[in-house]
This record gives sequence, structure tokens and C-alpha cells, in this order.
Amino acid sequence: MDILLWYTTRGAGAVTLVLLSGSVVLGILSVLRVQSAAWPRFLTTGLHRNLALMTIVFLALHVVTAVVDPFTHLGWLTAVVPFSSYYRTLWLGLGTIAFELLLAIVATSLVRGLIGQAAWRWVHWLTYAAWPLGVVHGLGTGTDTWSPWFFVLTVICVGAVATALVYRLVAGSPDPLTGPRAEFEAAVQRRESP
Amino acid sequence: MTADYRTMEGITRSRMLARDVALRQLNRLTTGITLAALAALGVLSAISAYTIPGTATTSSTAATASTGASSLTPSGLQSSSTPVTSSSGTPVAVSGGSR
Repeated sequence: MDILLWYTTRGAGAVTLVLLSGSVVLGILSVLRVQSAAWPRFLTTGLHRNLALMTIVFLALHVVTAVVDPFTHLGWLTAVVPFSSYYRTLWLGLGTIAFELLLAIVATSLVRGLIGQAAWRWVHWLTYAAWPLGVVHGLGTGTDTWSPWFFVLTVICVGAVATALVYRLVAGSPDPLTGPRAEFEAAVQRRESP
Repeated sequence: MTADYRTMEGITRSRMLARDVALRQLNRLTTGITLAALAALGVLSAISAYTIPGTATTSSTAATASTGASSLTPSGLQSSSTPVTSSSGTPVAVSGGSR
């Protein structure tokens, strides 16, 4: 039974990496307002949100199966307090931080109306920390790190997110109101300055 | 006026239809990705089991280790292979000791 838990932990970790990478890519594409006749913009944001929720479910499975596995004796504290594990302290600690950051991102997204757009945006920027932490956790602590299948999966995920990021940096802001908004802010600052 | 109203109504209706189509598409995609993720969980778990199977259980490992350790005495001589049996005598309870 415990060996089945170990296999599930590893499988769920790999699926979580793929889902999280997909969610990050869709998040970047939604900022770029990518759309077509067959793919409306809200489909990108809707799928991004659903993928993020799915990521949390598979991440929870990954964490729970790792903790309840009697072979590892990790304990629940490891899942909550970073760097509290006796086993591969650094790599598991990075995974714990990534897990908590993702929980914060999803929780604030669910109560966006209460906390406001600005606070939500600041917390959402943590995705750019959570995703690499998750990747490094997988590479550092993963049993399958150098297995060809997991290595190829990681390379594909990193390549997809890196491509989306570069595309975002190159494309710039597609917001049609960027110019007028900047002019307005500059005018307000000119008026307020003595 | 009536023509404008009809045009506006037509645009609204077409937008509503487009939104319904996109919502159905979103539901289909979400269901498909969920099923694919579950299938991937099974497949990747099986692949990980195939590539690095690991050990069976902790208890069997511990039992093997203890058996191996007890087979040799500190002097290097092999101990008796006769299994240790429990005593059938009346158990003696020991308690206290503080006084």
C-alpha cells in the first residue's frame, strides 16, 4: 500500500507541474489579451482559473500521499512549515513555500471582490515565484529527476513558460488605454506638484 | 428608431449566443483536461513505478536487517539457528521500586 502511495506522490507531482505550467502560460496569454473568432478572451481567463483550481487539487493529492506514506515519515508539519523536514530539507522546503504561495494566490483570487484589484494583483505576482520554486523542488527532491520521461516533461514545461514570458516581454502591453492612462497620470502629477 | 432597436437587439442576441457557445467550449475543455489529468496521473504513476520501483515495505526491510544482525555473534562466530521460544512459566509482574 505504501509503495502505491509513493507512486501516486510522484505521478501527482508530475501532473501538478504540467497543470501549473499550463495555468501560468494561460495567465500570461490572458494579460496579452490573446483572442480570435474561435477563441474569445474570456475562454483564456476561464480556462486559466479552472486549471489553477485543478492544480491545487492535484497538489493536495501530491502532498497528502507524501505525508501519509509510512515509509517517509515526513509528518504534517513538513507540509506546512518550510525547511522543517529531516529529509532533503532544502528541496522539500522550497516545495512547501511553493505550495503556500499557490494557496495564497488561489485564495485571494476567490475573494478578489473583497480585497480589491490592487491587492489581488500584488499577490498574483507571487506566481512568478511559486512556479520556479515548484520546478526547482521537483528537480531537487524528485526521485525521477533524471528519468528521461520526467526530464522531458520538465523541459517542455519550462520551455512553454519561458516562451510565453518572452512573448509577453516582446509584445508589451496590448492595453489600448495604456497611453491615455499614462498621460492622465502624468497630468495629475503635474497638477499636484508645486 | 425601430430599426436601431432591432439592430441593437440583434447584436445583443448574437453576443449572448457567442458567449453561450464559448461557455460550452470552456466546460468541454475543462472536462477534457480533468479526464486527461486523471489519465496522466495513472500513466505517470505507472511509468514512475516501472522506471524506479523502489522497495516494498519498511517492515520487511527491518525484519531482514534484524535477522542478518542476529546471525553473527560479536566474536564473529555464527549463532545457533534454533529459534528463540517464549517461556511458558507464570508471568511475574514487577511494579513499584520507589520505596
